Order: sequence, then structure tokens, then C-alpha cells
Amino acid sequence: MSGSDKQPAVCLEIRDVVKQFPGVTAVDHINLEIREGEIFSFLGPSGCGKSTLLRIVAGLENQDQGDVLIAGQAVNDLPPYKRDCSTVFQNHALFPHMTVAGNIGFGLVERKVPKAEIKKRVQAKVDLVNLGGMEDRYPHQLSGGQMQRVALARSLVLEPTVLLLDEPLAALDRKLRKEMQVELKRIQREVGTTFLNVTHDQKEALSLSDRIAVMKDGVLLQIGTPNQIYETPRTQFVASFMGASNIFGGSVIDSQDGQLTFKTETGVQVVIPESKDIPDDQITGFSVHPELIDLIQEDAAPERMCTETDVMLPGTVKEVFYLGDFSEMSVMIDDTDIILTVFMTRGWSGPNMKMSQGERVIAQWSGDNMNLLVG
Amino acid sequence: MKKKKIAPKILWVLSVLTLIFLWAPVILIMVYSFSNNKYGSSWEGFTTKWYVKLITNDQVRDALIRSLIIAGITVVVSTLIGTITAYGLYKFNFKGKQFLRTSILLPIVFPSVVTGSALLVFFTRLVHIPLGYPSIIIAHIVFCSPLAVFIILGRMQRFDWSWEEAALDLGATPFRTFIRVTGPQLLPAIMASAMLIFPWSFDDFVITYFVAGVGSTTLPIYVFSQLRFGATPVINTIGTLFVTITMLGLVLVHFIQKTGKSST
Amino acid sequence: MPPLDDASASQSQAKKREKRKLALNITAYLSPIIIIVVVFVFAPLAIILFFSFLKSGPYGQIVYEFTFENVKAILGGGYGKVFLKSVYLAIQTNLLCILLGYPIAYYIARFGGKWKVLWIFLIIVPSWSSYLIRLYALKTLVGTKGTINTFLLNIGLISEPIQILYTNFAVTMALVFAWLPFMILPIYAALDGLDRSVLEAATDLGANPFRRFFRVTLPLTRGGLLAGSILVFIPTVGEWLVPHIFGGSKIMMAGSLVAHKFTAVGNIPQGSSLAMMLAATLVLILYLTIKWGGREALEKSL
Repeated sequence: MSGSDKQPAVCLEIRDVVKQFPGVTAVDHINLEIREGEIFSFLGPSGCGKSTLLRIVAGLENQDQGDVLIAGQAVNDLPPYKRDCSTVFQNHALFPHMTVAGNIGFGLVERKVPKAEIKKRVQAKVDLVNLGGMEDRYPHQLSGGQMQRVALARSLVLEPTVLLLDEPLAALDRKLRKEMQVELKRIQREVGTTFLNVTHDQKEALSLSDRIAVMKDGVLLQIGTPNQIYETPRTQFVASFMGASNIFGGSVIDSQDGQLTFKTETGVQVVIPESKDIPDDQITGFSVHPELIDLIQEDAAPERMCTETDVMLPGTVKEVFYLGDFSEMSVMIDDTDIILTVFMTRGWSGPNMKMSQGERVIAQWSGDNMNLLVG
Repeated sequence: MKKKKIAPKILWVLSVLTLIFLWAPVILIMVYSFSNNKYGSSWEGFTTKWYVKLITNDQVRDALIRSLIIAGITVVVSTLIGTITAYGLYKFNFKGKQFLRTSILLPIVFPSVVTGSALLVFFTRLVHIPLGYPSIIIAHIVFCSPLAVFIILGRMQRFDWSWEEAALDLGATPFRTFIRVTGPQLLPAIMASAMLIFPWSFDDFVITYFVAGVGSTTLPIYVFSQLRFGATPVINTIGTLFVTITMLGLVLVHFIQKTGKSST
Repeated sequence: MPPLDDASASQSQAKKREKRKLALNITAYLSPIIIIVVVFVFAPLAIILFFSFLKSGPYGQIVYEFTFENVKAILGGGYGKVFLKSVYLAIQTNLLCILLGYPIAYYIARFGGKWKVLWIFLIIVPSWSSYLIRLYALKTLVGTKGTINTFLLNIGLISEPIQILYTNFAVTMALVFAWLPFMILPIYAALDGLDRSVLEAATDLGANPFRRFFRVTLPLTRGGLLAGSILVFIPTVGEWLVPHIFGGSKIMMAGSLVAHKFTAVGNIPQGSSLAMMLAATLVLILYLTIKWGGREALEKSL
């Protein structure tokens, strides 16, 4: 991302924002730049401060300290109704006493747009979100997905600089959520508005976003593209939150010829290639995604060529969970209390899928697939 | 099997008896209000002459008008105070809020004789507010606004405040937000509280009796003054109208709340 | 470290701004009710508290001389008995209301079916109708020349009207008649809100209907019972009209004493002390209720 030569302009800037509630710091010195036209997601568990941050941007909450700039203008002292951004609320917050058209046109009426133009612009957005023919319905006559579309149109019709989405899909069931993700992406590509999305669902963040910021306890832990966040999480928390269940704390005990010897807290030693980005003494652990680990039956001799940095650990299969498209296995590594989680996809054409509980195996992964952690 | 069927039946009988206990006296005076008997205490053939007498009775008419004026003003002022108070109590947290809430309850939970006598002494010995309309209306506002506060507060607690945020977010000023969103959404509760305060004020006897002074006879005070004569046909007609109007009012409240519910 | 100072300064400034905004809002929204509470609730109560300790002249004027006599008259004398009687009658009324109210509330909640709304309507109407008119109606029924006596005389079952008025029975009946709806409604609300599956679970676990009622239903509707009791007990203790109409001069309650002193005798110091004592009794009872059952029950009962 940082390598691209012409970056779009920054359209939302958060500078050193702090927000405290009695007993908790909800937002703790956060700095952030969001560029024009991207879908940016705040990702984190509930209570991490992501919604508070969004509400500060919207003006629904006042920060104790720091600045919010929309399109280069500080909006700290502007009330929500004067800010050039609009929010899609988690529970959609449609006005129950107004029709679909009335809801979508709400903000335009406040801006004293002429009636005829309101009608035209509302119609355009009704078409954009595929709600043609439902203009005169009331919210209670709509399904959950339709209500969310109305909420989206209601905000988009104002052509805000930034569209804020506060867990817009959380209230929908799984199938609908998938559908709406696709819709959201399509709509964003069509209108080109910057989307700032808040979610606790890592799958949603990965599939929807151009960039993701992972938050915990009011602090920004890591910002990056979905690839970066998933494949190279920098801290134990990010790694586990993104589903890397094999996380090892420890430290580097030796370094030579571009190879590091890493000793885990449980005493296992592995060799890993040196990292360009991270100094040796800052490494506090590593993680491996379960889908990157191979299991080989112990008595079947290793068929594949191993490089020096390949990790091979003998162990016993403890549990096999058959999940259809893949199986999840837990493997207890010999002489340690490490339990590895390994995913075996059905497409893998080895005998491994038939592995059963109690089987002796060798867990193997390439050193290149190990991700170093710094916290 | 038999046991199961007999329990509801026993309960039904008990329930019907209880209803009869609650309703028989009321139905009786409604029936007697159409009876020819001049003491209004037995049936001697149908007549509507007591209603004619009621309309032509100057005392009753004066008392009725007085009660309507008092209740009308009380409803408007109490509902207004109730609405902004409920909003303030709901929206803001501050030290002493719990104490304020409890204090607001006092006029409702104290016996009417205590409120009535305290206000009487206050009006006559301390601030010299003339007994009559001013004292009665103030007293009614004192015990009716708490009712409005808690009815509207109850509604606010079930209210989805993200509507308000959404309106602000979409560019409506706080004032416009209240006009276009919050107000319309709270309207059913405000209407309901007005509908319930009206009978509270209109029917109140005890507190009014204390602070009314001489010559400010409201309808309940008139009824009370007639009580020592025992049953009278005119009071039967007043009672009949009271109960009928209460029933109509309750039906109306029911429908207001129903429309309020269906739109949320 | 200047930047930190700067930050904390701007932070405290933001806090201050917010505090000022809050104060402004409280003034804007809550000043009317605060004025009402302070001027028309607290001040009058303070006045009668003050007058409680004054003497009364022979013509009803207030003599500004400090005395404990009024209080003594209540704590030690005949007035004390009236207070005790009021509390006794209130408890009795409360129990009778529960006894009569629970079955009908239970019936409506469990077996009301499509008639539920009508049943509830028939309970609510009396609770909102003029209380004075309802007492008048009851008197029409049970008075010496009332319907019951007239009817019994006419069919020759009795030769002389039965004296119902001015008895303990009449007062109790009138109290129950007046306040019963306020017991039924909260109990009904509690029963109606009961999760049916809890009852089914109890049956499934082997409780027979009788045991189930006492071990599950009753404890779960405690809130409703408490709310109903508050609604019935409070006005009953301070009742004036019922003893006035149904007890005559024979049966007095605390409320009728207060009313008597103010409206008939015109002895303001004595009336004030009685009113204060009544208020104190209630505050004590409310305090115990809140302590025992929680504030929620009290506010919910409204």
C-alpha cells in the first residue's frame, strides 16, 4: 500500500483523539488517516472503542482531546447536523412514522432542497439500493435487509464525504449478511464514497475492506490491508483475533547466517529465517495459521524435500473435527504441552483426511510461513 | 382430567363475583338515574327527567364548568411540565437525580389529606394565594405533573433514541429533530398522559376540598355536599355520566396507545 | 513535559465545557419541576412541621408559642389509637385485596383468552372512575334505605333494616371496594408476564399444580404483589372519605382526624401535627418497602 505512487487525498483525519468514560478510556490517543474512496474498517471485539471512535467522527460523542478533520477541515466544534458525514446505524434507526421515500428524503428536506429535486434524488437512490416499488412502505413492512438498504440510501442521498457504518450487518442473519456485503461493495464502487465501517466480524472486515484497523481497549494495534492483517499480524492479540490459533510466545536465543533460533516458552526450539523488518530482540513470538501446517503419518517417510528452516515436530492426533469442507485436528506435540490446530482441506489428495484419533504424525510447516510477533 | 377442568371453573365463579362486587353499585346508580323514584333508590319506571333536571340545574352547571376549566388548564400545564421533566430526567445524569425522582413522587404517595392540608396552610399562612381558581389549579398541577412525568418517562425508556441521533446525523437541528422525529414518536405517550390526567384532576375531591375556599364548588365538591341527603336522582345522573365518560376515555387511550405501538 | 501539560489542560477544559452544558440543560429542562417540588411540596411540608409545635388559641388562631402538646396527644393519647387502627385497617384491606384480587388476576392471565381485554377493561374502569361517585354508589346499595335493605324488607326476610353503615364491616368493605382494582392490575401484569415454559418446567420436574403455585408462580409474581400492596396500602392509611361516609363519627381513621381538625374544627396546629405524623408513618412504611422490595417496585407500581 505504501508503495503506490499516486495516493488519493486524505478525506478523514483523526489526530490524537482521546475519549474517557467513567472508569474506562474508550479511545486512547488514536491517529489515523483515511483516504478518499476506500472502504476502511475498524475491527475489534465489543467494547474496544471502535463504535465510540465512529460516534466521535459523526459528532454524536465529543472527544476529550484531539482533532477530527473531514476533508481537511477541523470539525471538532461542529454538531452532528453540520458535519459532512452520515451514519448508517446498527439497528438502522429508520423513522417509524415515515415511508421509505420519507426516510430517504429526510436529510434533503432539512437542507431545503426543492421538492421536485428531492423526488428525483430519492428515486435515484431507491434504484441504487434495489428498492424500486417500495417507496410508500413503512419501515415495519420491510424485512431486516430492506431496512438496512433504506438506511444506506438515506445517508448516501446526502452525498457525504464519509459514510459511517456502525456494524451495519450485525443484526442480519448469516445468509443475508453475506448478501449485503456483496451489495455494500457494489454500491460503494458505484458511488465512490469513502466508507468507514465498524465491525467485530473479522471475515466481514477481510472481505469488505480496502484497509483495516484492529483495535483493542481503545488502542490501535495494527493498520493494514486485509492481506497484511491476516497474514502478518504483529501482535498476539491480532493474530488470535484473525484466527491464527497456533501462537507461540518466546524469544530469539541465537542468530547466525540469516537464521534465528527461537525458543518457545515451553522449551521447543525452532529455526526461522531472519526478518528484515523486525530486530531480533524485539521478537516476542510467532504464529502459524492452521491451514499452512501439513500432517504426515510418522511411518510414511517424509516424501517432500525439507529445507533447513522447515519445522518438523512429532506428535499425536488428539481430536478430529469433521467440518465438511475441511477437518480440524488438534495435535499434541511430543514432550510439550503444545496443542497445534491444523486444517486439512478435502481437496488435499493425500491419505491425511483419513487420519484418526491417536495416530502418530509429524507436523510440518515451512519457515517462510511463520509470522513473527512483536507484542 | 376432571380435576383440571374444575379449577378454571371455580376461578371463573370467583372472578365473576369479584366483578359483580366492583360493578353492582355502579350499575345500580346508572339504572336508578333512569328511574321515576324521586329518591333515586329504587325502580319505578323509565324516565329521562333527571337528566333534564341536571342540565337545567345552575349549581351543577357552574360546578361542571369550573371543574372543566381547572382540569383543562391542569392537563395542559402538567403534560408540558411532565414532558420536559421526563426528557431531562432521561437524558441527563447528575448528582441528586435519584433524590429528585423520589421527591417528585411525594405528592402522589402522600395521602391526599396531607398534601391538601399542607397546601392549605401554605396558601393561607405563608404566601397568600387566593383560595379559588389559583389555589386549586396550583394544587392540581402539583399532584398531576408527577403522574405525567412517570407515564412519559416510562415511554422514553422504551424509546429508540438512535432515531434522534439519526435525525441529527442527517442534518436536522435539535429543534427540527424534536418537531420531526422525537415529538411525533412521543406523542402517543403525551396524549395518553393527558387523557389520564384529565380524570385525575376532574375527579379529585380531597385536595380540592382543602384548598377550594368558599364559593369555588367543583363538581366533586357539589356531589359531596349532596351526599348527606342520601341518594338523589341528580347525583345518579352525574355518576352515570362520569362512568360513561371514563369508559369512552379509556377506549380512546387504548386506541391511541395501539396506534402508537403499531408505528414503533 | 509541556506537551502532556497541554493535553491534560485541554482535556480538563473539555470536561469543564461539558459540565457547563449539563448545568444549562438541567436548568432548562428541570427547573419547572424543581420549583414545584421545592415551593409546593417541601415548603408546605416545612410549614406544617413548624405549625405542629405551636399552640392553638380558643378561636382557632395560631399562638406562636412552642409546645410538644400536639405530638404528645398523638403518641400517648386517643389519637395514637386512631393511627394504630388506621394501620390495622390498611393491613386488613391489603390482605383482603390480595385474597380477592389474586384469583381474578390469575383467571384473566391464564384463562382470559380472547376476553382478556374486556376483563381488564372492566377492572380498569372502576380504578379510573370518580372515587367519590363509586363510594356514593356503594352507599346507595348498603345504606339503611339502600337497595339491599329495601329488597329484604319487601320480600319479608327481615322486619327491620340491617345496620350496615357505620360498622367496621362497612368501612372494610368500602376500602376493599375502593382499592381492589389497584391490587388486581399489578398482579395481573406480573402473571401475564410469566414465562409459560417456567411453569411447564416445574410440572415436568414433578411439581403438582398446587405445589407449583406456591413454589414457582407465587414467588415469581412477588413484584406484582408488592406493587399492588403499595398502591393499596398507601392511600388506605390516609383514607378520609371512606371512614367519613361509611364510619360516620363512630369509626375514625388518621386521615379523617386530619380533615376534621382542618375543615371542621379549624385547629391548624393540631391538624398539622396529625398530618405530619401521618406523613411520617408513610415515609417510614415506604422506606421499609424500598429497603425490602426495592425502589423499582415502587416506581413500577405507578
